[in-house]
Amino acid sequence: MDSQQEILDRLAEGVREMDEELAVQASYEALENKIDALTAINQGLVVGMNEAGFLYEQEEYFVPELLLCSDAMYAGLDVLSPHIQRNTAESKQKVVIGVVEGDTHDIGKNLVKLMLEVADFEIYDLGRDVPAVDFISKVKEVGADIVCLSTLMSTTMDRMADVIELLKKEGLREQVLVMIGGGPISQAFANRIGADAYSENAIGAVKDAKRLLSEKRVAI
Amino acid sequence: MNAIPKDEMTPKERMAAFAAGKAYDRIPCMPLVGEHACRLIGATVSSYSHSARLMAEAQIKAFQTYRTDSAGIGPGLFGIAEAMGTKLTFPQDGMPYVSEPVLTDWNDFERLAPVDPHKDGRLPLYLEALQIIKDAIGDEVGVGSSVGGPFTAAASIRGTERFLKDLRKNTEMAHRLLKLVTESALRYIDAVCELGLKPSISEPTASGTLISTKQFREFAQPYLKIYADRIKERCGSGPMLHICGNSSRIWPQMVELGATILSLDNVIDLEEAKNMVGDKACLAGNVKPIDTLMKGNREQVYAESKECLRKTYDSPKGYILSSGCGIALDTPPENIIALMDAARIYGKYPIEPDRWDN
Repeated sequence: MDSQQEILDRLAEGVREMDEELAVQASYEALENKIDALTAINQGLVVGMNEAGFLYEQEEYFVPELLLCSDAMYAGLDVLSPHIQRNTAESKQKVVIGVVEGDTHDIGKNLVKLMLEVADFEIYDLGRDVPAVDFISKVKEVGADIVCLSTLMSTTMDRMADVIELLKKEGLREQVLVMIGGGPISQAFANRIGADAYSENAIGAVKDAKRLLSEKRVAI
Repeated sequence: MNAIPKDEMTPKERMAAFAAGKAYDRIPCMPLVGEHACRLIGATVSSYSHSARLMAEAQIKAFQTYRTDSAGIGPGLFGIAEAMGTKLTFPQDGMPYVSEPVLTDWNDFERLAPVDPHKDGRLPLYLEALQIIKDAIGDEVGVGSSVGGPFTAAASIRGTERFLKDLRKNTEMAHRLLKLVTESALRYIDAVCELGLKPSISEPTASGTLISTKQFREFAQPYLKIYADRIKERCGSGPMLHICGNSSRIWPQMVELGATILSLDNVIDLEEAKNMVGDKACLAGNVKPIDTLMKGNREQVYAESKECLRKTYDSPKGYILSSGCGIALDTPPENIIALMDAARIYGKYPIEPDRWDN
């Protein structure tokens, strides 16, 4: 019988090596060995995804590889998620995510969505080409804690400012944290439009989401 | 600087001299006008996209307004894929995009066929528009047609996410699809050449921003070379190739496959490009389409144009001032005129950057 660490390593390997079969196999092994599902995810699958992110930064992995790593991750999650022991007293933080109006490039948004799901956020994915009013409706409908806005194109960046303005108009700005990301986006742009955070990549997005929420709790 | 020097040659004369290595009056300037032209005739993008008459009217008006060194119209990124069955959405007043790729299931591959450019999709509209444009302004300016490259077309047929994954998980089918779209594109290229016009290629999905150099060499380059070879054979010289995003890793490959003009994005450094491949191909670019051309003013357009000229005017195989990518729909026409004027003022021979005021 393999040690816990060996199984966690195989979970990471399955994701990093884009090996769906291995990720699934290791996930079942984890369950059989009574490894806590959340541990298997965070110390196995997520480690693999972080390694993939590092390889992407090193220009060894490119978008095709990241997509296949995320497929392997989803395959492992499908096995493990139903077994997560949730602290039912604590409700999940709600995230509304989408690509702004006029833009249909959603690969980046999908990677962020995956990482947030793994980090146990409840995701409401509005897809792509999403008008500002639709972000607002969903925020109201579900009582979202965070709105994540994505765009690849410079021509649609200003749609993010539209969402923030609309949140203000509806008296929702204080209740919702706004995170933005995408090709042409920068910290300077985030500052200019009054977003709460700019994330450079999917893994950074999770860190930023957690940080913002804990800062908010402290503030209150 | 008081008066803006007048052009002493027509664009056609200028580009003929440029190609023949003879003297010409100023650096050519070819902003990627595209759909922005419909703003000049008050047409919506969707009506423009479905009418040969409106496409021709808009591009002719754009040429008359800007006096660019090239003109034309083409099926662009999605036209070939659309003619093969991919569905596009046409927002009334925004850029069209892929809504339903036709080949979500590889089992449907046998149902796909190479296009007939005189019948399929909106390709016939482009050919019709090109004839009208050629008749109206073809004696003054080279009229061309931008067609999407094989990688971009295959991604539009399969869905970009799926296609990128296919590069690793289903390489055989990826190659079969690339061969098929190449066959379609060759038929369109032939039809354009039959009109006496020259196609150019736009291949954004094969950008270094998405794929590795190795993946470009395997999946984009061989097919782009087939396009380039056909264009060279029929028109006498290789095409202009536009790849946005970070193309710096693939400049040598772009040259190798036969592109004679590399049209480059604002995220790369023209000076680096000049140093690496300026002795092998003409360079074009890379004024920022949004920050400068759409949101800036005349002074900012001049300033950035000077930067580009300073870096690249002496590139051995030539330099064409241009936008880094497609002109945004709502770009103020005055800014595009400013870009052309920048070429007229600062790009007029003899070019002496040391004498510019800043």
